[in-house]
Amino acid sequence: MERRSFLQILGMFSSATVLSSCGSEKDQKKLISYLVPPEDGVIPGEATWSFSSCQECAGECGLLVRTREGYPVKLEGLPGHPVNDGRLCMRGQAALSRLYQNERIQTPLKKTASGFEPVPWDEALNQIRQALQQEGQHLYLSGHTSGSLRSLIDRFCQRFKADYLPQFELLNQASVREANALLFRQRALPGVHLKEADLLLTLGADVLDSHTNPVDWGRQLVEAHEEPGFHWTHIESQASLTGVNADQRLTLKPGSESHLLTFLLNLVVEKGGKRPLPDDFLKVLPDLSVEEAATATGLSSGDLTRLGQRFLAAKRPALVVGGTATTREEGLQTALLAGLIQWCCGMIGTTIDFGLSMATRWGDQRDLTRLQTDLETGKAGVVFLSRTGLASGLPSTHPALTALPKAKLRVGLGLTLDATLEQCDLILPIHHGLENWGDTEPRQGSYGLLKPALEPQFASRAEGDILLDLMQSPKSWQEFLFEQWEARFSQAELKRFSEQGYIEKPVKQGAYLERKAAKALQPLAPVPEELQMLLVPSVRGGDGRSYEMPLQQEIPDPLTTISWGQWLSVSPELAAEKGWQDRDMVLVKLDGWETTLPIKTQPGLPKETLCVQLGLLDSLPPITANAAGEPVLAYAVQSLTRAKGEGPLPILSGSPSQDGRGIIPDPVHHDDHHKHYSIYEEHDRPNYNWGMVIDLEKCVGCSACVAACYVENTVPIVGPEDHRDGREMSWLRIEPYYDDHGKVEFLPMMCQQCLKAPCEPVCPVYAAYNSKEGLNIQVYSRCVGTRYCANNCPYKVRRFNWFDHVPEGNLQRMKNPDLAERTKGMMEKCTFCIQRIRQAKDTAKDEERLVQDGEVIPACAQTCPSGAITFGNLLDKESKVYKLTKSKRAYKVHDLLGTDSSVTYLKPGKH
Amino acid sequence: MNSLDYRNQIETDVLAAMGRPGLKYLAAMGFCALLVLGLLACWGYQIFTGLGVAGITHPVGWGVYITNFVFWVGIAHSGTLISAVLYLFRQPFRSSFNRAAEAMTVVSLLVAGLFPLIHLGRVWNFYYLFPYPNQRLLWVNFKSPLIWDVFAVSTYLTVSCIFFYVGLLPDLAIVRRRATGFTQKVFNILSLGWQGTLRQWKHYNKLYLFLAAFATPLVASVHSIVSWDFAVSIVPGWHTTIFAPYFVAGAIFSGIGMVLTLMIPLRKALKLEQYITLDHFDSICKILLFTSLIIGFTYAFEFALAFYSGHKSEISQYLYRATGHYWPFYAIMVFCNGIFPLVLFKKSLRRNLKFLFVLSIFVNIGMWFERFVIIVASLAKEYQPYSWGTYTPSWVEMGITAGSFGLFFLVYLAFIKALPVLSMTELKEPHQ
Repeated sequence: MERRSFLQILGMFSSATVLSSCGSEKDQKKLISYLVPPEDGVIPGEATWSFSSCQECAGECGLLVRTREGYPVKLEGLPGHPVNDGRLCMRGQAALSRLYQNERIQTPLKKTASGFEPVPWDEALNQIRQALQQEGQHLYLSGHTSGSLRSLIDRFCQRFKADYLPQFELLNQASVREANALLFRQRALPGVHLKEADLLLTLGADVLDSHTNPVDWGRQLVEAHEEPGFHWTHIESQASLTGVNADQRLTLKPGSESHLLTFLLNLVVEKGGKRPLPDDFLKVLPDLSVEEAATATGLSSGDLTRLGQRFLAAKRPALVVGGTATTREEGLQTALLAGLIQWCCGMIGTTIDFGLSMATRWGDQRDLTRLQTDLETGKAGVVFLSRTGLASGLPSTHPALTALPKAKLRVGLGLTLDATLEQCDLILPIHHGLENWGDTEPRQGSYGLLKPALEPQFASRAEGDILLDLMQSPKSWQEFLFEQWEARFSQAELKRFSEQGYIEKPVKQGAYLERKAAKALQPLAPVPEELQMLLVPSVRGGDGRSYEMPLQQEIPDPLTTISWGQWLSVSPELAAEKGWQDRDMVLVKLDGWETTLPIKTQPGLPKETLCVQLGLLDSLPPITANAAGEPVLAYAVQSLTRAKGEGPLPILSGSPSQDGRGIIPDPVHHDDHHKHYSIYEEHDRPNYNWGMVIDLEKCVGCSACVAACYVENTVPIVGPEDHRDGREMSWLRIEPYYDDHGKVEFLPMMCQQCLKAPCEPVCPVYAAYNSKEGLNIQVYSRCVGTRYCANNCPYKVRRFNWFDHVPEGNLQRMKNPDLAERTKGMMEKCTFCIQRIRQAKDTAKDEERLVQDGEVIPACAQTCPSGAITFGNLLDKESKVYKLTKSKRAYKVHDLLGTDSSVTYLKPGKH
Repeated sequence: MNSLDYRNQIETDVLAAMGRPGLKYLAAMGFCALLVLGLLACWGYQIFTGLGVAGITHPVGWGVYITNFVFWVGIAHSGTLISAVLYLFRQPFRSSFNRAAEAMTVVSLLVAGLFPLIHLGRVWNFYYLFPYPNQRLLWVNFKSPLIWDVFAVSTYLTVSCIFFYVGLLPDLAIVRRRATGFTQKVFNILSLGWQGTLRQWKHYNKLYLFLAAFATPLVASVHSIVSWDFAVSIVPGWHTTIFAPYFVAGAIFSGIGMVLTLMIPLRKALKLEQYITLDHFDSICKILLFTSLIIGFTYAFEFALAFYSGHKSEISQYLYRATGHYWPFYAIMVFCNGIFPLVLFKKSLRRNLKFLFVLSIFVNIGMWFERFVIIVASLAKEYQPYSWGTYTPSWVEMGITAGSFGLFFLVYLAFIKALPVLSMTELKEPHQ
C-alpha cells in the first residue's frame, strides 16, 4: 500500500469514528440536544436561560434556569415575578438536585411478589384503564397542585366519576382558612400588604421559615422597614428564624395564643376599633384582664400593656397568625379571634387582602377521613396518589395509610420511590417541573410559566399526558395547556406571558363579616401546664419534604448550626436545671409514642417548650386534627429523662457567643481604624477592585446565599461523618452569634478577599496570590496542600479537600462547567464567583469598555431575598458598593489585624 | 600501660561493637523494620485515599505530622551543639559523645525531612517547593517561611552529613587497617585514601575547625527558621518574637534528652564505661539544666506577653492552653520540661544513670507535647469563634509517628554496627 492511500484511509476512518460518536445511542440525536433550540443555535460554552417555576413549595416562585450544553446547572429567581422578583430561598436554590437525584424512577413499575418490576407504559396504562371501567369509587389525591393541571385533573375525575379529594398538604393552615370561611365566607389565606402597614404583629406565623412564601416575606419586610416608623413584633412559643429577626420578639406559653388575642380584642373593643364588633360576638367574647392574660401567657403585664398600646396606636396594623399558634387543638379559636381583630381594626381590605390569597385548593385532615371511609368500606376503586408525601407527612399508623391496601388498585405518581409510592401497585414516573410544560398560580391572578429546560432524562411522562392518555384524548398535555392559555389570556397577555414567564391580573375582593360565625367561638381553653413538644417547620426542610435533598441537611440550620441528623431543642434554663449538655441523649415520652434524641440548647426558647423540626424524625408521633382539620403538632410531654450516651450531632459552630471580639459590633461600638504599614509594595489595581458590602440589618440568616453558593460553585456535599470531624466544605456560611439575653445576630462569612491577605505570603508555591483586581486568587493546580493558608486565615474560610468528592451518577450534571476541577489535597474557597466576573469582563472587552456597576452579581448576592449583599467595583466612585462602604455603619471584621479585606459589613441597629 | 597499648585498647574496645550482630540486636532491628513498614503502609493509604484519613481537620490544619517534624529537627540540634559548638569551646568531654550525637543529628534530620512530605495534600507535586527552571515561569514564594524551611533543613542536612563524614575519616582508616576481606575494601573506598600523614592532619584540622565554625550558626539559624514557620503567621499563640530563642533552647534541651536516652543503654551494651564516664554525664546534664531553665522562663513569659498585648484572642489563647481541651498536655509539658529537670541541681542525681535515663524519657515526652500544644492548641482557638474546634490524631497519624521512631532507631542501630560509635582518634589525643 502506498503511503498516500494509507493516510487517506486512515483519515476517512478516523473522521467516520468521530462523526458516529457524536450521536447519543438512542435514535441518533445530537449530543447537545435542545427541545427549543436557541435562535442562534447551540454554542458550546455559552449558557441559555429559560423560564420555569419552583415546585418545592406552594409559594411557586418564578425561575430562570441556566442551561449549559443542554443541561440546567443553576436556578435563579425570575426578575419581576410577582412573588419572588428574582430571588429564591435555599430550598429553591437546591431544587435542581431533585431533577438529577439518582433515586428518580426511570420507568413505570409494577408491584409483584418479588418487589417492583419495570413494565411498559402501555401495559401500565391499560391496567389502569381496565380498573377504571370497573365498579367502585375512584379517588384522586394529589399534593399541592395549581394552574391548568388542576383543571385537567378535574376533567379527568368528571370523566371517570372519580372523587378529586382536596389536596393533601401537611401544613394546610386549615384553622385560618376555616376561620376566614366562617367569618368572611372566604376559605383562603389572604395576602398581606406590608408596605401599607405601620405595625406588623405575627403570632406564631413563621413567615421567614415556611409560612406561605419566605422569599416574598423577606423581600417585603425589607421594603417595609425602609418606611420610617414600621415596627414588627413577633410572638411565638418556639424559637424560630422568623422570631429572632423581628424588631421585637416575645415568647408566650404554648397554648396561650387565644388568651393573648382575647386580651387584644378586648382592648380594641374597649377603645372602639375602626369597625364595631357585632353584639353576637361581644356576647361570647370572654373578658380578660391584663393580670389574667399575663398569668395565662407568661408574658409580663408590662409587656402586655406596651404591646396593647403599640397595637392601638398603630394606624394601619397587620396581624398574621399561623404556624405553631394554629397547629394546636384550639387553633381554630385563635384564628377566629385573629380574624375578628383584623375586622375590627380595619385590616381586611387594607393591609390584609383576600385578592392576594394563595390560590390553593388544599384540603385538611378531615378530607383524609373521607378517603379512609371509602377505603374501609371497600368502596374505593382506583386510588391515584400523585405527589402527596402522604406517608412522610403522616405517622405510619395513621388510618388513612393503614386502610390503603383495601383499594382495588393504587396508582402512584411521583419522582422517586418514596414511602407513599411504595404502598402502590403501579408506579408512574412523572416529569420533573424543569422537564415539563406547565403553569402555576401562586396566588389569585398571578400566573407563572413552566417551560422545559431539558429533554426528559428518563422514560417519565408529564402527569397531564398520563391523564389525557387515560382519557383517550387525542390532545397532548402541551396542546391542552395552550388551549387553556388561549382561553384565559388575551393575545397581548399571552405574548407577555411567553416573553416574561409570568403575568399578573390583580383581583379585587372585598369581605364582609358573617355574624353567624359567633356560634363557632368557644370559651377559652385553659393553658396546659405540662411541658410541650412542638413539631415545627423549618427554613431548610419546610414541612420536611425538602430534607429529601441532601443539600438541605448539608447546610446547617441557621439557629443551631446543626447540619445532619435529628435533635430536640430545649431551653437553656431547662438544660441547666437538669444538668444536660448539648448532644446528651434524652428519652421523650408522649402519649403512645417515645423516642430518644440528642438535645441542643436553644437560647430564647420558652422553658415550657421542646421543639423538633418536621421531616427529621425517624417516626412521627400520632397526628390528630383540630376542629378545622389542621394537624395538631403540639404534644403534652409525659416524661423527659436522660438516656444513655451522646448523639453524634454535628454542631458546626465552635462557640455560640462571639466572646466579646466585636465581630458584630454593638450599635454604639466605635471601631478604631488603624493605619497599617507593610514592608511589601502596594498592589497595582488599574481598573477594578472588587468588593462586597453585607448589610447585617437586612440579613435574616435564611441561608439562601449558602445554597446558591453550593450550586453555583459545585461545592461538594460531604455528609455527616465529615461534618462531625469539622470538614464541611461550605465556601459561605452563616455564623449565628448569641448575646447573653439569647438575642442572635447573623454574620454571613466567606473569603474576605483581603488586599493584604495573611494566606498569601505563607503559601510556598504562590497558589494563593493577589490579582490585579483585588481578588485573592487560589490556583488549584498549583496548590500542594500545606494548609498553611488556612491556618493563617483569621476568618477561617478556606476549605481543604480532605478526599476526592465526586458526585454520584446523574448528580454530576449539576457541576458548573465554568469551574476548574478540584481534587483531593487542594485548598479552595470563595472566589467572589470569579467565573461571573470573567464572563462580564469578556462581554465588556468585546464592547471595548469596562464592566459597569451591577453587571457582575455573585450567586449569593443574586439570590438574597432581602437584598443584603451588594457587589461591585470599589474603584468606581459611582458604584452602589462604593457608596455603601462609606456608610456610618460600615466596619470590617478583624480590621485590627490589618488584612484590609474587601468585604465590608454594615452593622445592625438602624432601627 | 604505655600509650601505644592504650591506643590499641581503645581501638579494640570501640571496634568490638562492629562485630557479628547478636540475637537481641537482630530482634531490635526486626521490630524497628516492622514499624517502618507500618509507616509506609499508612502513608500509602493516606496518599491513595486523601489526607482525610489523618485526624487533622478544620481549623486544626497541622497536627501530629508537624509536631513530629519540629520534634525530630529539635533532636538533631544537640548533635551539632556537642560536636561543633563544644569543639570550638574546647570542651574535651565532648569526645565521648560527639560521634554518637552527630549520627543522631543526621538520622533524625532524615526522619524529620519526611514529615513535611507526609503532611502535604498532594505529595506527588512536592517538587513545586523547589525553585527549578521551568517553561511555565513558575517560581517559589520566598516570602513563605515554608520555603525558608526547605532551604534551612536541606542546608543543615548537607552540612551535618559533611561534618559527620569528615570527622569519621581518620577512624574509617583505622577500621580499614584492622579489617580484612570485603570490609577492608569498602572502608578503603570510604576512608578516601587517608594515610594519617602530617600534611593530611594539618589540612584535616583546618577543615574540621572550619566546618565546626560553619555548623555553629546553623544551630541557632535552623531552629529559628523552624520557629518562624509559626512566628511569621498571625495565629494567636504562634505570632510572637520570643519564638526563635525559645525554639533553639527547646531544641538543644530535647536533643540532649535524646543523647541521654541513647547513650546510657549504648554505654552499657557496648561496654564503653571506661570512655564515657559519669563526669561526662555530669557535664552534659548541666547543659540540660541550663536549657530547662530557659524553657521554664519562656513558659511563664509567654503568658506575660499575651496579657501585655491586651489582645482578646491572644489572652484567650493562652488561657485555653492551660485550662482548655488540651490542658493535660500542657500540664505534661510544663512538668517534664520546666519543673522536673530542676532536680538536676543536685549533683548526685546528675551522676545517677538510672535516674538520668528515666529523666531523659520524661524530657522526650515533654518536648513532643510542647510542640503538640503549641501547634494544635493555637489552631484550635483562633480569631473566629464560629470556627473553634478540636483535633484528635487518627490511627494513620499514630502509625506514622510510631514508624518514624522505628525508622530513627533502625538507622541508628545500623550505624552502631557499621561505623565506630566513638571517635577513636579523639580519644587517643590526650595520650599522643
